[in-house]
Amino acid sequence: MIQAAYDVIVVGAGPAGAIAARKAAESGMDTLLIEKRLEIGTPVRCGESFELHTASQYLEDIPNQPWVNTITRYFSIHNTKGDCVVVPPISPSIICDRKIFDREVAYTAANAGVQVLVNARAESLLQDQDGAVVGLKINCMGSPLDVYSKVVIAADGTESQLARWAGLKSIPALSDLYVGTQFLVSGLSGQIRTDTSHYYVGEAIAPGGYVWVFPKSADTANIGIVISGDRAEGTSAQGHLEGFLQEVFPRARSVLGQVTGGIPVTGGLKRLVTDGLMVVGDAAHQADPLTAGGIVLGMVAGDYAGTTAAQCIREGDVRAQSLSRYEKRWRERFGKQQRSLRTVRRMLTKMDSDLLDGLIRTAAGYDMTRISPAKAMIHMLTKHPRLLIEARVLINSGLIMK
Amino acid sequence: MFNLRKTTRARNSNALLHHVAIDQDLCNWCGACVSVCPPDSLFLYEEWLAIDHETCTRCERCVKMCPVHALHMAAGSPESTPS
Ligand SMILES: Cc1cc2nc3c(=O)[nH]c(=O)nc-3n(C[C@H](O)[C@H](O)[C@H](O)COP(=O)(O)OP(=O)(O)OC[C@H]3O[C@@H](n4cnc5c(N)ncnc54)[C@H](O)[C@@H]3O)c2cc1C
Ligand code: SF4
Ligand code: SF4
Repeated sequence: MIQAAYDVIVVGAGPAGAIAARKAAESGMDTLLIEKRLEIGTPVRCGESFELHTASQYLEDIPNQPWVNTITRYFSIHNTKGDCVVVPPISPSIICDRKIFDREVAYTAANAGVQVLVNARAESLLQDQDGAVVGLKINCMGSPLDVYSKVVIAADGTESQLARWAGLKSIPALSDLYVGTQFLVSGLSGQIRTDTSHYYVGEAIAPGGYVWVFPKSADTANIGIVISGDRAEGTSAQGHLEGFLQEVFPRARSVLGQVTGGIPVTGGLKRLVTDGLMVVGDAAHQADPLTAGGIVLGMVAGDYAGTTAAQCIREGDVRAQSLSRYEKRWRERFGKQQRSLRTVRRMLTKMDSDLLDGLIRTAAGYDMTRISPAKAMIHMLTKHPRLLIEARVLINSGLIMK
Repeated sequence: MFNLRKTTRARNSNALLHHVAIDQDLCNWCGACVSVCPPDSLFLYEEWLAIDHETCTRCERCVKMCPVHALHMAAGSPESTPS
């Protein structure tokens, strides 16, 4: 079934890998997508929420897909004191069933001509005498074999080892890693809104992170937490989440599912390519450094990498210099934004909890659908002069214009 | 089991004094610890987390960050804790 050689091998059938493989195949490349799990999409490691607008570039008619549970049109941000500010985001969010979603995205790759294989694990790189990657040692359904390719795309997620084997250092500082867990909780009728993604912030709730409540139906929701990896030693992420549930949703007693994981939020690896190899998605630390959302960013990276791989193969040059067109394109679109969001996360992590609570209380008094962000910011500054110190961080990060 | 290793580092001198122990009952096989291990001593199989005690430097990064506290430092040699 498996060939001895392909143009492109993609490792990892998450959203980043599936789109990378699909784009390579759509550009005429003979492409293999391997996944070590027995079933694509499980176990889920995700809050299952993504932004509709960008994702629509890759999937048709999303709102009507069977894997969509709810569509939220508001964000509500809560502090530890019970105040809450409602913000209309730029694009609605899809809350999905990722088990089905991931398989569906992989199916679109298969449909575009990609050979998709589960129970196929990349075990090490095949490299030529100069260190260029020329294929992989794979364990496919129990049999070890060598498979050659012109380009390998590493989309092997948080636990990525391919990038490391290729010499692209990929170990985040614990302060640049979110660790989290999530329960699928029932018995929430009347306590949540299905049109709203709820976020809870504050040191007492989630040190260096936040809690989310994403409605799956009128009665069920993904209630999850991420905390900063360097603040997880005393009480675990799960311990914090259990505390939150007891406090805020004491009547919800059933947990229908659990998800656990870590998301590197460095804003991106320093180098995304080496000779014959490209890294995308969580493996490349491309998730949003503030929210840890990585589905859509992974798909865009997959798109850029798959397309670039095909171009380079056609031109007959798959050295790092040539493949780095992918890296350049990614950085041009997201580089500044990723750096800014990381700066903001660091600022929020250090922010005094009273100030954070106060800001949300003040903002709760505004009608965010009518007031411009600039005006809200000025009001905030007059009410919370201490914010001036923090505002400098925001300005330096480029998120607020001087 | 560790055929993934390209090089095997020298055995750690503290190897027999303490080691990282995995509570496979608590572990959710999420792979987060794999991403923070400097010497690449952890590997996640489908539903099994494996550790290479030979290369582990006992830096405790994985122990500190595990979202469900499934790892701890245990006294004695790795063989003393079944995992
Ligand atoms: C608790 C939690 C909540 C989250 N919530 C959200 C959210 O609400 N919205 C959002 O956008 N993002 C969220 N994320 C992040 C999101 O899950 C990831 O950013 C996203 O899945 C990254 O996609 P990917 O394709 O890069 O990697 P993954 O989806 O992780 O896919 C990588 C794949 O590679 C496979 N693999 C690994 N090694 C090998 C190997 N050696 N050989 C073969 N296959 C291999 C893995 O089995 C896996 O299937 C969350 C993460 C966590 C942990
Ligand atoms: S981080 Fe914890 S739960 Fe996740 S694989 Fe490692 S030990 Fe298991
Ligand atoms: S203690 Fe350090 S070296 Fe050992 S497995 Fe954990 S992270 Fe890796």
